[in-house]
Amino acid sequence: MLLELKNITKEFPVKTGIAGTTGRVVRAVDRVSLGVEEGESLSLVGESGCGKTTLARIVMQLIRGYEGQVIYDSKPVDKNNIASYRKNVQMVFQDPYSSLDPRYTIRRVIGEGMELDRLRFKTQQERELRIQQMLKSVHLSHDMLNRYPHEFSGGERQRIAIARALVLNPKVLILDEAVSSLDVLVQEEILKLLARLQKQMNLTYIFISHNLKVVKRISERVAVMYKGRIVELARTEDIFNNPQHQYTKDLLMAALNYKSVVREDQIKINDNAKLFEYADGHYVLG
Amino acid sequence: MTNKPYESMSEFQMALRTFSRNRVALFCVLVLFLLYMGAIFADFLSPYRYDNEDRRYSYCPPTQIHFFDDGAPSWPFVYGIDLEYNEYHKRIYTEDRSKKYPVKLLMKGDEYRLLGFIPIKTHLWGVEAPGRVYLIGADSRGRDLWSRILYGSRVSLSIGLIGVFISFTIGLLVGGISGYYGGRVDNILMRIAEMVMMVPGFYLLLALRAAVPPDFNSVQVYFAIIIILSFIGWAGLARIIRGMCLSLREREFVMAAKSIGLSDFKIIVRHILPHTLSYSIFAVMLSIPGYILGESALSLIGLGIQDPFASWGNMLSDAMSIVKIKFYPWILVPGFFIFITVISFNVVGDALRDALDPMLKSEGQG
Repeated sequence: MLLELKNITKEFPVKTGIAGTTGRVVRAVDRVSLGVEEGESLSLVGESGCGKTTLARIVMQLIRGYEGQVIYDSKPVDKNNIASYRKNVQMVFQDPYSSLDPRYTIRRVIGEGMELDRLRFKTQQERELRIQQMLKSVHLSHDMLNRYPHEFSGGERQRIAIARALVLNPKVLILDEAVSSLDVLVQEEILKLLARLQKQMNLTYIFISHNLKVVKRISERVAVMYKGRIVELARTEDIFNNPQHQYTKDLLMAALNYKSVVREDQIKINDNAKLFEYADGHYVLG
Repeated sequence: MTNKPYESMSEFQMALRTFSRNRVALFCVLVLFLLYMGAIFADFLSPYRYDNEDRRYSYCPPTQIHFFDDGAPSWPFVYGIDLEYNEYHKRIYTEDRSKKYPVKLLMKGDEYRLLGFIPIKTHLWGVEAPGRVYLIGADSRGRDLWSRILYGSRVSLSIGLIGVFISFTIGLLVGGISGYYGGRVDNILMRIAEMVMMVPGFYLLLALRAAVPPDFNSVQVYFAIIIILSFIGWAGLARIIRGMCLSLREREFVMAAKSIGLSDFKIIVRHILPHTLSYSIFAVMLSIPGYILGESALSLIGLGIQDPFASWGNMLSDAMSIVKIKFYPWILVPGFFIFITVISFNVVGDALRDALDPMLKSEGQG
């Protein structure tokens, strides 16, 4: 396993009024264990608020104070090796309109990514060359370098965000709803680009989405999240053809036809439930 | 305008363009520019030094500069000044037509250091002693009010800038740190800010001034006043900046900067505070008058800059009696300069707010 999550749990305190915390907590992520192999694409699906983004931010080490371990290259990530971890794991954010600093030109946006590895890109020339190279690999022309983000369309911005994330040649790319805010044609372009980049750079993707069509296209394995827990984890075709957990079934139904979903009461999850191996590589919470 | 392509303008440049279309504001910028130039070159532009006194001419009214000599056009000149007392022992100044002093350009007078280094004696204009010229009148000790206004503007105008600089540095950092980290840090810093804000400004000013040792010389007093004023000013700004940072830190480009591994300090300085810039710029402009008025108020009641050094505030302290205002109205002129300066800063600040409004809106939505 290139990147592994072990029993990740993150609780947020519930705040009320002036008195501050009440001692109650919300479990955004609940005992999540996952692993991705090198070169693999793993999708994380689930409804809004199920903890996908929180999990992604934990993997990216943007949120601290979680329980469990993030293990990269069989070494747990901690304060001492976080810099080298970040060189290898990068993230593309959901909203291309807010993930680029509006005060920065594209050159600075992409160039800032190189701060992490000053030793590799010492001279201004080396950096400039790398920026040009990255721009080319996401199909943007180099005359855009001096422009500001607000002059670009959503698709172009997302390419810029991808270029920034890839500038240090990371191994793992976390894509948090990276195509959700784009219209379908642009989505298509970005997905193609991602597929090509994966081949070229042997990237590992953790693809977070609620859009099952997109997930079906890009990923080899899918993890379904519900209320902070992983309820089902299997190869993509197994999830789509042979869903086992009730929530997965509902999700697929909803994706196919809105009207057919009748969720009168919420699916209950037994707190003590554990993932069991239903078939080879197909895990279900039960 | 060059014909650079439109698209390469940053939001800031666009705001600047909007601003440059506001003529009133541009006029005020010009006024402020002239005032500050006046302050920088005060010793060159003024005919006398701030402490050049001649008690014979106490409250001498403005000297008339004549352009005609017996009906014929002539080089500008002034007459000598004659002093008499009337039956109530009031001083009556009249022109002594027997003595003529031409106005001289680049005249040698009191020695001073131009820009602080170059010792020279040349003044832009003046009249040869024993003639004396009072452009807008003299004060109680016969010092030229015009010269003192120019010298005083150095104190009054610089206190605004330095004070704002210090208090904004504190305000931005405290607000930035408070908003970015949140939680306990935020709580502590904001309670401190509230304690500062809680005390009415003017009383805090007096209390802090009372804490300054009485044997300070004028330079020390000057800096003490700046620090006192800054100490009062930072809290309000810190609160607003903190609110903006609270929403800014949730923005994805901040997340992106974090995932690149930038340090917290770099994130605050590079990605968070620049977004509060549009607010800060006009907040700076709108708060400078507060410092100018604060210094004037302190000097007016005799707690600020001390005689013989000039500031607009301590010049006005002479004008606190209705009798003096009635007989020597020109001693109110420093107040007029305060007024012009404050108005100009306010107009410029307002215009900047209008120009920066699109940026504020795009940043305010969190």
